[in-house]
Amino acid sequence: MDIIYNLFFYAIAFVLVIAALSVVFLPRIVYSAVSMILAFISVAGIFVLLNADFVAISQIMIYAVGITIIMIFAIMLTGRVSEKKLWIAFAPRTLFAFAIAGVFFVTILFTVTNGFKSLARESSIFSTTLPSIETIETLQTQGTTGIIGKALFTKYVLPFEILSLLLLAAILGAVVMAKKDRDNLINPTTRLIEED
Amino acid sequence: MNIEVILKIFNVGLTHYLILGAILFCIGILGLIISRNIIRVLMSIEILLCAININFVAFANYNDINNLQGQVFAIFIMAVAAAEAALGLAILLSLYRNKPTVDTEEMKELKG
Repeated sequence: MDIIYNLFFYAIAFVLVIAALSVVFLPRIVYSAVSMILAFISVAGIFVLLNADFVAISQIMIYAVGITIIMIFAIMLTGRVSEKKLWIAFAPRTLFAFAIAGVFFVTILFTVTNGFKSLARESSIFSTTLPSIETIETLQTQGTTGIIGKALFTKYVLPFEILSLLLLAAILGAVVMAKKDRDNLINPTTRLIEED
Repeated sequence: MNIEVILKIFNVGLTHYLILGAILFCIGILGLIISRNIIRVLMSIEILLCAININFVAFANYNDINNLQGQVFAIFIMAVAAAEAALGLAILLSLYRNKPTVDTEEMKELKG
């Protein structure tokens, strides 16, 4: 295809991999929270390259704003000076993790590069080329929001409702778990204040 | 190897997106196991879900351009990830109230 698409893909992918690695390996947790924002925004760029505008905007709104703010809240609520420097684990666990991730990556790489090509040759289920130009042009002019909305409210209406129940249960559970228990407060002065 | 073969390999297709998703997934698994801070474990879970989303949207673009069911599932996964992050913060706070640390090496109550 055109060279600009390839250039943008490789630039965004490079930034994404660097940001994800710095989430894992930066020594201070606040820096990795900030680089997590960069990783999520580059994932949104990947979605834009894949003609998915609605998913890209949702990615920025939910991940790069919402979840990052939740993480920064977690950092600030549990912060302590002596624990700001907690980094990676000790040697056996780290070696085990590198081995697991390496084996996993080699397996997926082998499957993707060989398996999909042979599968596409035999069954033509997975076409590894882009669809026609006209389809992409109509998608880019009309947007994907209409198609996603129709699918959400006709074919996937039951998972959608179950998902709303899940969100309600998650909000209630988070409030119940994070609420302070009134009966066994640790500090006796606050109990005295509350009795007054 | 002549120049056309190299250009054909580096031309972006479905395979490149799947390899990018695989790299991101492996970074997430690595961070899930090796990090000593619980908050970084939660961040690694979010990176795992992002990798899954890239695969879903790539398959929706290259194989299912008329229905876009992969993008619908990406929206579902985002909602589940938001619920998971909120619950993770709540569990983290109640753990921190019982034992004021975020070190994963110190959490040994369930070890038996």
